[in-house]
Amino acid sequence: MAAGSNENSTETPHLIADVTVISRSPAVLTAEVSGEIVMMSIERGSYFGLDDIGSDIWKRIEPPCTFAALIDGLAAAYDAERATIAADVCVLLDRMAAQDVVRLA
Amino acid sequence: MIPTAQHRRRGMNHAYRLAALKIESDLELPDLQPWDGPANSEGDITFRLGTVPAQLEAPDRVEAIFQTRGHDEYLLALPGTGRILVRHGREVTVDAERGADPVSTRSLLTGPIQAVLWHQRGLLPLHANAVVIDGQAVALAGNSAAGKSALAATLVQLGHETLTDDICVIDVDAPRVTALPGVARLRLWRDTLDMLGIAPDGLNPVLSGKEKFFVDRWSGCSAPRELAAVVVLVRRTNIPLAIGRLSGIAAVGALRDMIHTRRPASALGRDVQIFAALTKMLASGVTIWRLHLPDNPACLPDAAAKVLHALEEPR
Repeated sequence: MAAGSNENSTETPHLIADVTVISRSPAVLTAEVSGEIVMMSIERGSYFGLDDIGSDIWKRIEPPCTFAALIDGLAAAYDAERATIAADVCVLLDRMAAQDVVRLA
Repeated sequence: MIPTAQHRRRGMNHAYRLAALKIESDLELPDLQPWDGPANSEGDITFRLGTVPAQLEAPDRVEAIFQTRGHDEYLLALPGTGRILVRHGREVTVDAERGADPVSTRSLLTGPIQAVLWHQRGLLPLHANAVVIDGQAVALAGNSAAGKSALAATLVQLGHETLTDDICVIDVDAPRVTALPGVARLRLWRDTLDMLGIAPDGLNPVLSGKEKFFVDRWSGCSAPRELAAVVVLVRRTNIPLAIGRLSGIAAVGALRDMIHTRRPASALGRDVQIFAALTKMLASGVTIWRLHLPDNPACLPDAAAKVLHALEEPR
């Protein structure tokens, strides 16, 4: 998992709950380049890329799904504790939401 | 040159070729190749002398030296040089200040103004030379003084044709991603000429008093070529010569930095198309490389060998 090094990652930020619906933001353009998702912010024109786990999450939130469903899917695909995945993904989603790559509702 | 009756009627004294396009110009542009197609053919692009307003009417974007309106109007205003208006990817109007250096005006027209024309025409100009290797184009991209022309000349001396100097226009809408032919002459510094064994006698300087010369001894490839690779040159003192392949966002980001006149293109509303073009290049199998080039002409043969070796890797 790429985003698990944060010390606070074991605490789930209050923003994201199991029932939170995660969706792709319409504010970015995306393309897949050799398996990696690259993006452009339509408003700011800035480019950024998602790492392997970010790219995987991106592919799993179309159609939009709840945080719990996303974590269930990742837990089935990756060899890691569900709680660890949930904590890591929570941090990553927070960051992606801050850049308006994903929307939380 | 004595204008013909037809030229006088149109007010155009000069005709040049740029890729497949005909440029008709009031100004002499010795950088460009003379038009060699049918004499009566309609010009695709016109460079006229005329009056250019200080401001666009209702501009969408106003920056320090340029303004834009919509996709099709770009006004460059440079104190000491003058104002240049570019419209619809076709019409360029030049309003030079009294006493402006004509060489500066010409280098604006064949540099950034040419690039803006390509952006308006929906193509992607990279700040790059290109050479033809095994029948395909390889772009050598880099900022000014990165060593693009020097490395291109080194490859040309090894028997590869030059495709373009300084601006490499990419067409991603062709069946395969292609690079268009540009000017065949290269602009080379004296130390590069010395390394290549070319005497500077009789060569025209790029700017008077500078030890940089136009070299047009090579014929160059005049047809579009499928683009195989883009090599992004990074030239520094005291770095070891090295080449590495870029992928994903690193490749897209490096390419984006090599877009000619990127800020004007963005102001002209090209961001979305440019992102699509860059990612399409990569998805089509164009490989992207970063070459660290030591600031020493003696390294050029080794650098050329490294590029050729890297390109032999399976895509």
